[in-house]
Amino acid sequence: MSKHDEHHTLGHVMPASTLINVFLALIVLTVVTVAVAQKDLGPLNVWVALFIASIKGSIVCAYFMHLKYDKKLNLLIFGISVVLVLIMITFTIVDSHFYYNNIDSYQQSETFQAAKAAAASSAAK
Amino acid sequence: MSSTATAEPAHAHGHHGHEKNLAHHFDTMEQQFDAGKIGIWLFLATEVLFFGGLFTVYSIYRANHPQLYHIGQYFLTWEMGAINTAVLIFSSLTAAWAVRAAQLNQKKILVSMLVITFLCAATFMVVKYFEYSHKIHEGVLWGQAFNPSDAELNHVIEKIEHKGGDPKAIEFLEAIKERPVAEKKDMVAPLQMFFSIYFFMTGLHGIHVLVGMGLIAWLIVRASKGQFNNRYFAPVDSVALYWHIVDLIWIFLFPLFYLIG
Amino acid sequence: MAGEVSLNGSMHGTHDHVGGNYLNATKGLKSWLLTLDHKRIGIMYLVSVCIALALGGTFALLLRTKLLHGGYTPEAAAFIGSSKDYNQWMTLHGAVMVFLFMIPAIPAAFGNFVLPMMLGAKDVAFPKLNLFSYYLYFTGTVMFLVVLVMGGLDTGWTMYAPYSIVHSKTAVPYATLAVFILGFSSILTGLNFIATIHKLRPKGMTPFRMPLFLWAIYATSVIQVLATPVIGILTFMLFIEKIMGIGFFNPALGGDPLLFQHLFWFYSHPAVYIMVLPAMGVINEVIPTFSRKPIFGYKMMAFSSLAIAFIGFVVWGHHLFVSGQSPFANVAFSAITLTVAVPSAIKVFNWVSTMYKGDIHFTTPMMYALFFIYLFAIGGLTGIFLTALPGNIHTHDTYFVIAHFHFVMVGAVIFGFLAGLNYWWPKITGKLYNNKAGVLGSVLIFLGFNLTFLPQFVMGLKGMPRRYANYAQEFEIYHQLSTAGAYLLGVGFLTVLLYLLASLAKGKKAPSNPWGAASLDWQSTSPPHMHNFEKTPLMGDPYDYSLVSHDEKTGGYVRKPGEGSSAHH
Repeated sequence: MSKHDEHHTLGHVMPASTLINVFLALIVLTVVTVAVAQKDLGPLNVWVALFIASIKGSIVCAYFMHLKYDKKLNLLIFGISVVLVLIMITFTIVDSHFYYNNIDSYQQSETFQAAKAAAASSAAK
Repeated sequence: MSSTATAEPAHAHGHHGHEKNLAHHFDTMEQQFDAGKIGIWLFLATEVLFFGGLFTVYSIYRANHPQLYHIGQYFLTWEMGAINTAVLIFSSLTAAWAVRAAQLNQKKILVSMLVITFLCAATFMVVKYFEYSHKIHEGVLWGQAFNPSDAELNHVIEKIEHKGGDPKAIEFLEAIKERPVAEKKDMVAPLQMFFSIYFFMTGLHGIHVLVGMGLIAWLIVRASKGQFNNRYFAPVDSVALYWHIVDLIWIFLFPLFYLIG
Repeated sequence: MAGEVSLNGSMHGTHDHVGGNYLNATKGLKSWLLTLDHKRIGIMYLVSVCIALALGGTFALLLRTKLLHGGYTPEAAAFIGSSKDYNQWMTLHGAVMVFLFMIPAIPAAFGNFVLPMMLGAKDVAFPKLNLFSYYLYFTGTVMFLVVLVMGGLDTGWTMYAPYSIVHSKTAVPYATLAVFILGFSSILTGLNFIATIHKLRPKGMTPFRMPLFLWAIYATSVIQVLATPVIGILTFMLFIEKIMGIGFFNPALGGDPLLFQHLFWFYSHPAVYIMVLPAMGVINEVIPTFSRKPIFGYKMMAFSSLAIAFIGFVVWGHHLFVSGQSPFANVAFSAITLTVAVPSAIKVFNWVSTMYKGDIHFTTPMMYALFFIYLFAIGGLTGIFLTALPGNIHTHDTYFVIAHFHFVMVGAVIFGFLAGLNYWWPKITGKLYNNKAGVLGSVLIFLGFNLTFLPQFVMGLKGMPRRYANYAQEFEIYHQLSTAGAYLLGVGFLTVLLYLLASLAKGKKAPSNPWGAASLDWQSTSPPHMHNFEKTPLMGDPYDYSLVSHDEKTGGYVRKPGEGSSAHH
């Protein structure tokens, strides 16, 4: 703000070694996620893949995107957006489990056949 | 957060330092830089929610039709996805390095890092082009256009067998081979949703990559004119952050589509 | 503190010097179309949203005219337009009012104009982005006009799938693109305001010295930034669905229509607060100013705005109670929705407490603010009927819902908008208007509004469904009362238009601070200087009316020199 620090660098400068280490970590985690995926873990497949992807994502945010060194407000903004997506997904998934049988029974009904014909004809136009 | 925001004095007719990149309504470069950061992070938050809507669609269908994803995954080539993941991660490294170079006034490194980032983005799109064109050729498309060729079905069946895979999936794919188009379409109806989501999400991500390439090209021009320095590099910083979010989304798309069945 | 620049006596005399204010500092069409000045952009928004209001109002009058008679006889059916026309008017009334008027009205028009001035800043954080955001709004508006030419829209403003993607023969793809573009305009405005409020507050302007309008705008901006992308992606999906047949929401292709509603209301319920919070913000300024009393419960007001914004994100399911949503989700959303009543009630109690034993001036903005409280109370309380699951099932998709949300949306947004328009008019234009005409206009609008919507509560409870072009004879009297009210409402708006035009043409010159408000925006000249303030404004409690005193020479008020009160340390 005053004259004498006019030439100070803005923001946090990330050391080159950190950047390279982060890159290597990300590559290793990619290999891990591919390797794990070759084994069938049943319903755990999704959660393991999401867990590894979340670690990778957090590393990218913290170092490549400087969030670890940045103003906390920026972390808050980003965090809220992620939380909202999780709320959106959780509510809809929980709800869909209850109502999905309606869609499935609809697809076995005669109404469905009629609707499908209508959809096909509108798509043909 | 509020305590950080009140540090700078305001003057009605500012007589700030003679920094040429300081806009008239800011008092200091720090204030301008911080405001820009808040702006770009808010934008990234909108990107998260923008893709969040699509991840919701993905999750709903995955939760209720896990079999779609189980079979659909075999139509994709995970090796291609893995190459693209590595390419994007590397481009993220170079983008982050470009910011560092700008902060340290290293013009040559800045330009070369931006050029590498641009080339990585182009590589990503080339790989994507091969993936898409193969799928279009074999009729592995979205929604009602989904009509896979028998050759592609054979190929997928082979892949499943090779993996010692699921007899149910093989049975399903065998059954739809060598049928008239209309009948086949009827049988694969659930599977088409997988490809609708696949094309929508990767397509939208691809558009983001193209936009990123445009932005990086713009940065290359400005950087080679020497317009950035340790006091003014907000465009580099913002585009790099945008580029990281593109990478971040791909980090999730890759396992969700290519790896887990 | 900014006190080093003293105000040399009163500010009168500075307001009538020509050449310095934002309206005449530069001339020519280009100086407006390419302006980066937040005040001019605010004016551009103001004019645009008023045109949108007129357009949406015209559709309302058309559909109310159609409903003057039930279509139970052929002659009556032929009275005005077909049912298809009715569907179009009903849709376009909703879509234009929501997307083109209510969402941008207060934040984009008044927010742009007064937000930096209330802060004591020279502009918003990103002036170019601000202009870009206006042009996105402009493009979206033009696209809506294209929709009108390309076959209209008959889906209801909600554009529910699968009707919109399978059956509707109207210009759905254009409408979805228009909403997509308008959404980005809204996002960028919100983003700009958040950055401005965080980083452009000058020294002395602590968060709790901000006028409550800014807290309201801040909460609104948070919703704009975080909710709007979801409608963006949803309309994009709808667009792609329409042209490529991907089938996300089409059950015939294995799609899930309820998913559309989930995503739609994830945005569109918070969007209700995008509309109403800024209106509450305006009322927060108007009521203390004209009661000559500090606002009651400043911090509660500030935090209740944020609370409404955040609760607003987790109540979207109450729009889906009879859509096939699960009983579990119904109960959860019903319970969460009821909690919105708490911060809303805090606001109403605080407004009333502010007026208690105050020196109330019945100026035009204050009239709108008083009406606002009444309308918002009724709108809010009937909301509780709708939140309760059994009540909702009885009244779902009836005129009761229509009446409820018009009490909140029109009662709050339009009355808040008109309060703001009349409040800041002298600041924006530098002209005074005829207060008697203003009060007359507000009373006409208020009477017209009640006549239009009170009968709708009754017929809704009796079972009149919404969105029908036809009805049984028993509902005719209510519809006719409602239609009469709509025309009275129209007359009220014309009154407002006329006295404001008269003010522009030959209104008296406005003093800097005609109302005696204490927030910073009134320390600038009327109209303000190109850079907002010629002299650094004096910080102080925005609701401490002992900081201003009446000035006989100008007929307005002046800020007393010296430092502000220390009410909010």
